[in-house]
Amino acid sequence: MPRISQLMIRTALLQLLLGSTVGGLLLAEKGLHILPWLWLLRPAHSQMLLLGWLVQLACAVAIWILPRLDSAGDRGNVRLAWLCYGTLNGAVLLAALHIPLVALSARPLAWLPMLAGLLQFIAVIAAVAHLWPRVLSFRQKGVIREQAV
Amino acid sequence: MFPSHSRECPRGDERLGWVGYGALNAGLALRAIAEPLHATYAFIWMGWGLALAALLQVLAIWALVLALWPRVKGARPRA
Repeated sequence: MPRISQLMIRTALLQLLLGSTVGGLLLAEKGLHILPWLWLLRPAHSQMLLLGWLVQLACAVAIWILPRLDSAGDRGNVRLAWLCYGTLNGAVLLAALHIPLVALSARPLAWLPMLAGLLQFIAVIAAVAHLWPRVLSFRQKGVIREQAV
Repeated sequence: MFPSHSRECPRGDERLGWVGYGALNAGLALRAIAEPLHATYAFIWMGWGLALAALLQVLAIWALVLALWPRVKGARPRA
């Protein structure tokens, strides 16, 4: 497993822990009505579980497991995968912090979700740009190998 | 799918996987019962039922993450 996939899967597991713990607190609050301010964390819960856990795990496994470009094990432009990692997690962080920061500062902070959306878009483009050339049939892979020889 | 934990114990501590399996399904079943009842009758014990369901689900996730964490690593060099 390449280093980028290890880091992405570990970050995804941490986001799963954090997101599901927040979700558990919200479910308990639904029954007990003790800490109503917890509902401010609901967008953070969904962002961490959808993007931070599911999308990040899918990207990490795809970067790890899709066919490599040559017999030396070249995975193509790995900098795009690192860009995806940085922007995806930046987007989750900004989107998760938006509502709590609005509640604390009493300002709309409308630029925050816009920036998070832009980062998400960049993350998806970077992931697709990295993975696209690696979606190959075995026959195509054989042709590339022969051309290299 | 993840790399094996070790030659002797390829999946690591499998008990964590069983705890995750049991707690996740028990938590989901309890939630499926407690949430509609709480929405309909709102007795305090149903609220505690929801809290217990939440605890079981969170426990399941922690157990599964603990089981998987040591297996996120590079491939072992072949002998």
